[in-house]
Order: sequence, then structure tokens, then C-alpha cells
Amino acid sequence: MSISPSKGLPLRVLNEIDVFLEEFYPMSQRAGELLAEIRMEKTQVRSLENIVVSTRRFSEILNFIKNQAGKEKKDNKWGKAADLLLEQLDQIEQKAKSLAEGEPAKALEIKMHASQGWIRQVVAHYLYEKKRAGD
Amino acid sequence: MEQERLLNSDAFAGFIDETLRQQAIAFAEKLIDSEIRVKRHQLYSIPSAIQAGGLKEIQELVKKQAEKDNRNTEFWKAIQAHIAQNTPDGRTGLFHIVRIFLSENGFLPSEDAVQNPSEKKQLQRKNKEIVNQVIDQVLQVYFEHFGCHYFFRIQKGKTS
Repeated sequence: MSISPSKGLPLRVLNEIDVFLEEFYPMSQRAGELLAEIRMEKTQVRSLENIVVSTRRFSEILNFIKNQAGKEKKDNKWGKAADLLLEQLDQIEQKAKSLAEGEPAKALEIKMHASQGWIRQVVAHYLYEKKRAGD
Repeated sequence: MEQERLLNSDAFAGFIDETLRQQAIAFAEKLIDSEIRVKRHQLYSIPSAIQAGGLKEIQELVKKQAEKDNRNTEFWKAIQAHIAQNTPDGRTGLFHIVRIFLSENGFLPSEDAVQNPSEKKQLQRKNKEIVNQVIDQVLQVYFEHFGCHYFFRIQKGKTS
């Protein structure tokens, strides 16, 4: 299925996303901490990161998390992290909608851009916490 | 139909990513609330059927499964109603969701503007065909949204 290529966001919107991500940093930090606390494997976190940076569909990120958390297995770590991650992605989506001024395609582009910034923050903090814990 | 223009449109990207997801989630929630359950492997047969033959194939699969008398029958009947053209699910059915999107975005000629009965019937047939073609394009993603949400919620219910 084909989705329109990125048309580039105006500088003003990019700045607003940066400001949002700065404000969002403590939450991303919390997500990274949680992933480290529950001892999520590095490969799993990298899988999520890969999805976020490579997909053109925001919902694919949500579906990846739900799919992992929905698996029937003992000690499903995604099940422990899913609610927080989905809640944070929902906040990103709401912010994108408010910045997009009613243009769905623009909202999608903002969501993708913001979620890529978000996952960088989450992964950085996860790795930092993991190192601190001596894992 | 200018299918290429539609598939490459911004509106379609937004529709796939958000509207379709919200509708699929609402449908999954409805089944969960009604305590309609299905075995995991049963749901996994849906993407394979879609890949093999799109809407026609899934309608075949669903029809066969809904006729069986077992613990999954209610689930398959609900899916059958949801993807049918004259859907008992009314405004929440997949056919209706796609039709509304196409109409609102100028991809479906208005039937109301046509007065001549035979021309109107012809246009209705043509529009139905267009809707079915688009459903073929979105089915896989729709059931991806549905399946991921359905099992996420079921699993969450077990662990919470």
C-alpha cells in the first residue's frame, strides 16, 4: 500500500515539536526507566526503535506494542510496559492533531516525526538505566 | 476510478492510519464487551484469506466458519455482519465506513444527483464496485488493527 511521501514540515512546526519533546522528556525518561526496571531485552527495545524509525504508519507502532503485549506467554514484559508506552504515544498523537490544524496527512507526518524523537529519548534513557543497574 | 490518485492521497493515508484504526478498535471492543471470544488460531486465518483473495476470499471463509456450530460461531457471525454490504451493523460496518470516506473525499460520484432510475441503478452498481475495490485495499490493515487490539485487551483482562 502506498502512502504519500513526506512533504517536509514547516520550520515553525518542527520547532513546536522540539519544544514539545523537551517538555515530554521526563515522561520519555520514565518509559526508559520502566523498560530497564522490567529488564526488557535490548533486542526487544531495538525492535521497537526500528519500527518507529522505519514505518510510515503511526498505527504500526501501536500495533507492534499491542501485538507483543497480547501474546500468551509467561512473564510477558511487553504486557508490563504497554500501557505506559501506548499512553505516551496517545499524548504524541493528540499533540500532533493540535499542531496539524485539521489536516490528517500533516498530523500523520507530525506524529511520525515526534515519535522518532520520543523513541530516541526512551532508548537513550533505557540504555543509561541498564548500564547503571549493571545489566 | 482514479485508484492511484486515491491510494496516494493524503486523505487515504490519514484514513488508514486513524479512522480505520478507531473503527477497528471500536469493533473489537464491542465483541469483547459482548463476551464474544475466539481462539487465537482462528483469527490468524483472516490475514491468510485476505492475502489469498481479498474481500471475496474472506467472505467465503467467514461464511463457512459462521455455518459451523462451535464455540467460535458467534465470533464469525459478528465478523460476517461487519463486512457484509447490507450490513446488520449499519453505520459501523466496514462497507459503510469506506463508503463514507470515499463520498466525503470526492472519490464517489453522488447518487442523489441522478434522477433517471436506470442511470441511478447503474451508478449505484458502479459505486458499490468502487467501494469493494477500496475494501480490498484496506482489509489487511483493518484486521491488523482489529487483531492486535483484540488480543491485547483479552490478554490484559487475563493478567489484570
